[in-house]
Amino acid sequence: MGEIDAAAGAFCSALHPRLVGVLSLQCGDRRLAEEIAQDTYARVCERWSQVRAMESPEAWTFRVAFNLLASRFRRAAAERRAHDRVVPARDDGPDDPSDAIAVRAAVSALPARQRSAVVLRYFADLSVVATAEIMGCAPGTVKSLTSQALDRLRAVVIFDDDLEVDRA
Amino acid sequence: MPELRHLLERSVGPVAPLDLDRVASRMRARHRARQAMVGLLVLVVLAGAAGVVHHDRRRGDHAVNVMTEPDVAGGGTATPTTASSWSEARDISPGQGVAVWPRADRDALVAESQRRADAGHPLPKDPSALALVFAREVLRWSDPRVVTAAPKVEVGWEVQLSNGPEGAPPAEVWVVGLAGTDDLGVEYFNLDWHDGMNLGINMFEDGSSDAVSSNASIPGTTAELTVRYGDHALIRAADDREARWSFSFGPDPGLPGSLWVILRDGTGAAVQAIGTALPAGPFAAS
Repeated sequence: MGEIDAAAGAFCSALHPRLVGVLSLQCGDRRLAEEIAQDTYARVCERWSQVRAMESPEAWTFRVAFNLLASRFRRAAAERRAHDRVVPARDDGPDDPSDAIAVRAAVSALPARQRSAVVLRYFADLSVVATAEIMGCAPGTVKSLTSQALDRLRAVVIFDDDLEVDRA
Repeated sequence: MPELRHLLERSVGPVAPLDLDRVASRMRARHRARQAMVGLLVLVVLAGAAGVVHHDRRRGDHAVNVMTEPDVAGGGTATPTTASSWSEARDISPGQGVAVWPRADRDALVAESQRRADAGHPLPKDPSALALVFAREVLRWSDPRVVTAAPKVEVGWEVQLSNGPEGAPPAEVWVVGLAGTDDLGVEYFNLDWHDGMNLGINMFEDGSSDAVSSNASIPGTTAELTVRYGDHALIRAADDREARWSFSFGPDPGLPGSLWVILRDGTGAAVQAIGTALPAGPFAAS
């Protein structure tokens, strides 16, 4: 592993569960999420001297990952469809309790921008500003998208706690 | 939102630890691919230069078109439809990206405004009127009209324009003002750009990995990509139903820029469009 800076490796390793989780929720395909994450880390490690000097290396990494996902999703989807014609489809998710299945289905049914906003805010635990930076939009847009997404999720999933929407 | 986060985590399930050997393997593969791409990019540039000649000789053809100067048409003929006091001027540092039109960075935008004024076609100082000039020049709408215009927090001024019958989707145009000047620019625009239409760009300091794609899927339309950095502009058009472009600006331009994708009908008028500013330096944006 001599070609990977130790600090870069530690950064990627620490981010890995959250990045794979975000990408899995965003694209609904765990294998594709793992693949995109690997490609993202390769870019992070190649440019570590610049990345580590950034104000938010984490936000930059998420942004790269989302861009890679956007540009590769259609091709991957076509490949999956071809694969599914010869291999029976299976659920890539873990052994799920029913509420987790419902949440995954509800999140995957959201429009892409709403899904990005809610996943980055509530799974990656990023701020409104960081989410806006990753999505390339104004913070107000993130708040609006998050609000719309939560409204849709409320319609299909019952939450125990009160969903407090970004209203700041 | 602990409950939602908990449910999301359960729906994702456990993630295996990162295998850095796989990352290193991908880095080696990317290095080999870049070496192979160097020769290919030279061919792309040559093909682009040939495309300019081809385009000049056959106007209307959708050949690759590489420009080195912004194609700025005369404007400023719009009549302001909404008198509006400007109170949302943004304090933008010199060299910082600010707009997608008429120019991306602050100094260039001010200079462009002066150039047009000197030519007798000053850009309007009213957000609505500026948006109308933008619609004529960029969207190529023949008869745009203002639907709504209002200041918007964190945006500046949001102007909605229409070129079609009542009920047609409006174009959303964000107008930004530059602090210390009376100049305005368009920071962002969006015309009926749906989810599912992918748009992405990756640009790194070595210029090795640049790609944009748009699954433009409206029959009878052409898809047009415009990327600008400083005085350099790259415009490509395709009449494929699924347009995909790859390009290179070479080394990191170190300048703020802009990116547009516009779908045009047979008359050239925009039917779907999106445009956003790009920051300077190594970045990835979408």
